[in-house]
Amino acid sequence: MGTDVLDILANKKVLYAEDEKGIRKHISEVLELFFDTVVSVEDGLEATYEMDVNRYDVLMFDICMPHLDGLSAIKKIREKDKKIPIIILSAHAEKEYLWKAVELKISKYLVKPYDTYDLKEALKIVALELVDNHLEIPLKDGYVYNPVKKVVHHEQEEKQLTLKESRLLEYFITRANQSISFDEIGAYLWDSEIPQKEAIKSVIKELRKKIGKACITNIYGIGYLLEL
Amino acid sequence: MNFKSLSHSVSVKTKTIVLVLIVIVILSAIFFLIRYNDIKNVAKSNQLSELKRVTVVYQETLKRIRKFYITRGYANINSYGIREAFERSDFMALHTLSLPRWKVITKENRFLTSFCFYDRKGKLLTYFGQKPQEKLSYVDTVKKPYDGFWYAGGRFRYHTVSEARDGNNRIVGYVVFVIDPRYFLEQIHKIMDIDAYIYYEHSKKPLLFSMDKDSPIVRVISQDNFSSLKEVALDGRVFVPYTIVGKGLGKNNDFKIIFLQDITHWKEIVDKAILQSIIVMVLLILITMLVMNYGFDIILHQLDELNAKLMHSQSELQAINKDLQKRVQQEIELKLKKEREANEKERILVHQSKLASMGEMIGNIAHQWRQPLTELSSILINMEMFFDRGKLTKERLQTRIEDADMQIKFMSRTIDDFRNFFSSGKQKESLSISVPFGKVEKLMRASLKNNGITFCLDIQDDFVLFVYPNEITQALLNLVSNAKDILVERSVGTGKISLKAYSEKGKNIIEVRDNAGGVETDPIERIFEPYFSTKHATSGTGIGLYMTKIIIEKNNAGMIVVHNDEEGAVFQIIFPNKE
Repeated sequence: MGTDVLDILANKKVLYAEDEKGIRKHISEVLELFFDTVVSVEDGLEATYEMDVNRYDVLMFDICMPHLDGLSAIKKIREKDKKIPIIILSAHAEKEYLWKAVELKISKYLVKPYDTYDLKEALKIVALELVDNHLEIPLKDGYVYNPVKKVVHHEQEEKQLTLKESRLLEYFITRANQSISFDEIGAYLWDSEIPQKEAIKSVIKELRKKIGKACITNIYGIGYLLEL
Repeated sequence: MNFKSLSHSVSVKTKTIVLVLIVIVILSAIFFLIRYNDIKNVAKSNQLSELKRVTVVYQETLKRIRKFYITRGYANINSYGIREAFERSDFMALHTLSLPRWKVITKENRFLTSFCFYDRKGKLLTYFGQKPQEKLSYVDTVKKPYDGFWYAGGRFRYHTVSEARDGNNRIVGYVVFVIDPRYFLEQIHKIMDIDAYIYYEHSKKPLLFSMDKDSPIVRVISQDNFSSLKEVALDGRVFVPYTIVGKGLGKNNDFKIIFLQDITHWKEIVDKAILQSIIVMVLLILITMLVMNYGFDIILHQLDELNAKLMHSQSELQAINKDLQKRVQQEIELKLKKEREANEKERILVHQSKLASMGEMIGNIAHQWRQPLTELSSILINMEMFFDRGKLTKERLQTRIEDADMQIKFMSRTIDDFRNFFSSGKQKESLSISVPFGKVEKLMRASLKNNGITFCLDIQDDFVLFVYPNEITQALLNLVSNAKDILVERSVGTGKISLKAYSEKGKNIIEVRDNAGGVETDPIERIFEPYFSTKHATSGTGIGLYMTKIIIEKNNAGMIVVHNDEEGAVFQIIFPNKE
């Protein structure tokens, strides 16, 4: 695969909402090839519920679903999360849907039936969006992070990050210069399981070893902050 | 019909007149003949009765005169001295004694020519009047007393002979009266007013006695061919002779009395009758000719006029006929054209509705296929991606192919469903309402789901309809599609369509209900009119509801009504419940 931007997704969690069982199965399997975690739900209601409970990096929603359609679900999600990249899958190509999609800042609108290329392109767009289009992210003290290969370069040295490490680093990068609480980190990395502070500290400690100590600063009693 | 020319008609006229005239002449002739015969017969019978009367009068006269003069003779004989004078042949005494008697007798009858006395041998003793025959030649041959006609010495006379007898009953002499035969003629004339002649043909030349009023003359009539009842013309008058045979003394003295009845009067009557007949005939003919000529002229004139009128009317009629024909033709053509147009319209309508429902069906197929197509594409994506990653194991490939097969089969079934819907059910059959309901659900499910419309089937009473199964399904599909279109058009968030079947008051009712807010058309029934559409030009053809109504009411004996309730439109298809 080499420098496939889709590898950016390798440490990401995707929520996939599709009411048709067969499609859901096949596409979930495909998504699992790219994402670290794929969670698939049957309708919009389940999707919003899932969003309330767990943290996701990417959403992929069908529009036509019972109980709560995809667009309505996204509208609810956007109230809390303005950034998360979303792919819409729809049999409809009507303008009104497209306008709504535009309002909801959809990353890609895929019209069914789509093919491999379409899906890959959509995923690439989402992947690049996740890294803000930077395939080389400079960190402090000459450290450079490659989100595709999930490696950190420093003076001819290349260090491979583990899944949790890269996941955490990218989470920090997208929220650079913002303080992030222990709970947030715990929720993001461990989902609904409530992790020990020690577990978080241990991951931070391992990450600091690879990206230099200057990058992540402690904010006592609250959490951490990544300076860029 | 045209009178070819007037000459032709004139010839017809002339012919007719001539024919009628001939008929009239014949009739007149027959009439005349009958009348003439009548008159003649009357005359004849009259003449015959006259003849009888004449005969009777003659006989009576003869009887009377005989009795009279024979009695007179005996009276004379019985007078004083006469018989004795006869016995003595004393002519002087006879003459003297009888003279007073002669004077009386000769005054009585002017035709008494002689009063004579003969002795017993028939020798004349004495006489009064004309000198008689010296000798009574017949006295011994006849029975006494005697009377009769006797021709002697160129004279033809009637004699009565009374004999005188003595005490020994021997004849001593005869008393003879000689009477001119014209006496009879006079008697007949007196009684009957008929002229008579006595014709005696045994003398050298026939003797004929006739009675003249003043001077009895004897005229000899040349014609001797008097035969009874044959007309004789005399002195410019016409007579009919009656002949009576009189008995004379001996054969030689037989004679004929010929009465000539003057029938000039009768003749005149007959002639007058003939004349009258002829005049009447001629008048009749003239009048007939005039009347017929005039009448014919009038008739012909009228005929001509009528003919002209007829011709006129005929030509008018012909013109009208032609016009009428033309108009009828035009009307028929117009009607046919209209019919054709109507048929064409109907055909187009049906075609359009077919196309529309085909379009609808294709839309439904698209909906039905969208899911399996997407699934197929997802399978392809899945296989391709796994292959890219080198993770496409044989088992995975196998499963994916099976998945794909399933989808393809499903799609194939869908196509079959729609094709069956379009190709079957050409006959009415008893059909449980659940069948079309099931079909509608099957065919519309995907489309409704894709549009986020909840579809609710509610069979409260599973009644049976006798209908064209396809048509009823199509009608329901139309109503459901219509509701769906309205729901999509009006962007109703939670669209709902319910299809309900129930029985109520002997009626089977199918209800299609939506929550799109109702029909806004006023009056509401107008939505069943053809080409009436409330939808956007892109989505509606306006035929669906019209065709639905046609299908339900025309072909399947149902009724379709619509009303709005608080949520939306309610269409009801009502079938009478046969049970």
